Amino acid sequence: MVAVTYLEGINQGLRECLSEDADVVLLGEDIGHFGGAFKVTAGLLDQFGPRRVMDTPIAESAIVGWAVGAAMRGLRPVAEIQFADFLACGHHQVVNNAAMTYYRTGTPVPLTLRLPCGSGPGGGPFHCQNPEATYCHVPGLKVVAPATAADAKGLLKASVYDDNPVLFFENKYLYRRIKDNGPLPAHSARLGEAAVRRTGDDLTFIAYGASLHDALEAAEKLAEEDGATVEVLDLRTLKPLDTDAILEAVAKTGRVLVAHEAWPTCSVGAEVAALIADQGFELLDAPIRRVAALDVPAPFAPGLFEAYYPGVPRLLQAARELLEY
Amino acid sequence: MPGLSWAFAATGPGDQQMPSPRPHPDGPALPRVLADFRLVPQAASSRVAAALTDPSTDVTLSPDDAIRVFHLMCLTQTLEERLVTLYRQGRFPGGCYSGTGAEAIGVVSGYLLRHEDIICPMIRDMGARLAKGSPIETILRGYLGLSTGPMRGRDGNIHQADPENNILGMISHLGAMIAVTAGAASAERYRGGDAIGLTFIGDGGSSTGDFHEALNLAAVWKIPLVLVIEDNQYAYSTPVEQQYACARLADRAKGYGIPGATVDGTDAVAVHGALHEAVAHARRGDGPALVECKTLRFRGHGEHDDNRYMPAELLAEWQKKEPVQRFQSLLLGCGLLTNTDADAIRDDAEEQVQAALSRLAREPKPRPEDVDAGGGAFCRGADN
Repeated sequence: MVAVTYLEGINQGLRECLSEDADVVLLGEDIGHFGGAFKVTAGLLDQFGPRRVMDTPIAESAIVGWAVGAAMRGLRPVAEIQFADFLACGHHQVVNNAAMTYYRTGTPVPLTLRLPCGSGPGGGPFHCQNPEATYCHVPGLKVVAPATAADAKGLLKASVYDDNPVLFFENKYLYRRIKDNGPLPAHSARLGEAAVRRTGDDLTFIAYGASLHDALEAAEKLAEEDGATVEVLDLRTLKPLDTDAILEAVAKTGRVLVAHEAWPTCSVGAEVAALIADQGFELLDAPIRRVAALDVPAPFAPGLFEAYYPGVPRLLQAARELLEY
Repeated sequence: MPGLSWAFAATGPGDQQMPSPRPHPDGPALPRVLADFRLVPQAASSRVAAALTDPSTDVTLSPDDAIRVFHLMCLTQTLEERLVTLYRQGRFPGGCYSGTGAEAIGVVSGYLLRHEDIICPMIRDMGARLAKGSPIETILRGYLGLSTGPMRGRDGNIHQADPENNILGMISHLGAMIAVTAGAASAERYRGGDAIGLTFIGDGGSSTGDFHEALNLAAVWKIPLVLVIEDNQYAYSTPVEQQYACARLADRAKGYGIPGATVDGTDAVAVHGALHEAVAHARRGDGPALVECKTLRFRGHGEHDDNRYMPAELLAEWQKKEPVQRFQSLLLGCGLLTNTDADAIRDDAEEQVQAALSRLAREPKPRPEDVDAGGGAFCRGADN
């Protein structure tokens, strides 16, 4: 059994999509001969050639716009935006063209945007953003955030084969740190389905992306140090949310902590909390708590970043307050 | 260095010769009075050919094509005038934007394309819709917000698409559709064949970053794209002096490594010559081409705008070159049409618009529950 990293999972997913479907094409800055800034697309140009794997000029708006046009004519373009932060430069093509074309005109837009996001100190304000909530707000976009290597592959393939524009937030911190036992299955995930990663009775963590691993670590510590058992739900798809899975996870413990690496205001955590308040108020035994990044740009220096990042210590503190409530 | 070795060039044998544009089966019919129209006497044909030849490119518009183009220009003008009336009567939601002064540009652009080619009309390009084959009823359904139109009331007026005729629906964010049209044309090339894409931008839209990004990408990838700049001298109320500082917008083509030409956009023959060459360039797989057509927007930005900011002398000067009248005078002058023929063509345009409107009178408007019918903003494909 060979361990496959999160990054290799995405590479395998892309490779399989390219092999399975002649309509799949890849485009992005430095993705061809260089294999991508993070080497996610390494080897794909050699295997599939320049008609399928296309290096682009630095032009996020044109990359997304081109992909919208190609998708409207039946291709399944997969565009890498080198850093999710840079999708701001292609923002209006995402919200005005990709998102709205199907509703307006009835023509599907099956494109996938791969968005390397998140990460640690040194990245600074412009290389570790997590802008997923911005796009969850817009009708017509699906938003996906895998946390495991198997999901990195499975959800990538599900995104490529979905007939809607999908924003695929791949977390850079997980690229080489997270592994699953291979070989990874060819089809293992569907969009819109959350997954229970750990079962428990005292408290529910709802998380995604890198924060899922912080949540799992915190759950382990709570079991060891507090004797508390924690249910951990991995959202996997942020839009559409798996409402049933969220409410089931809430019903199981009555105490909920939502965790993510993104900023707190109008975030996915805010949406999940609102959803629970709307539809699961009577399931609750305690207020809904959220643990997110601080409401400042991601700082550069390590000491500042640790204070900014919603890591295990903050999760534990919030969890213990909830358990005592 | 293993740079880009593949581009969206032609995949078949080079198409050096332009085929005659094909009339579209669903498009506006040739006026009945002209169905068996006897073209000019042989003796006059050299005069006709001279009048219909663009001296810059030596491209000649055939007499048949000239009559069809004139008919489409009349239809464009008539339909837009009728829309202004309907707008003033409060007969449709939203604003009303027309393309007065741009009739030749839109019609010739649409006319030079084949059915499989992709076009994205912008605000002033009603003529492109008609010439590409969009039926008058389809266009009117979009304006009236009827559930029978391709937009089903979810979008309308100048934003409407007509997928059956390979017409993309513009968004309001200027410059955005250049990359989209390029992507659509690339997809067609990817599958083989030699379809091209054509879209428009105004003098104002040429200032956007998207103009640059998309044109540069199209040039680097040799995407078969024709970009028509309609320089109508005003972006809403902003005159060109405050929009750009170069002598001609087509000069920017050099910066992208693509051909560019500037023509008088009120002269159908000149527009035809330049666009014929640009379309042939793209069709051959030589990459994008830029054609700048200069005209004046004779009305406000929309009907809500009385364009009082336009100097009267400027309007008067350009009114002398009003494109439909100008082309009619040319066709009369060279003997291709008589006054009676021209009147018949204009009458036919009126009749076609009126007939289309009458046919739509009983068509339904969308119901409130249609607002998120069928998955709403999401497409529910087989696997979704």
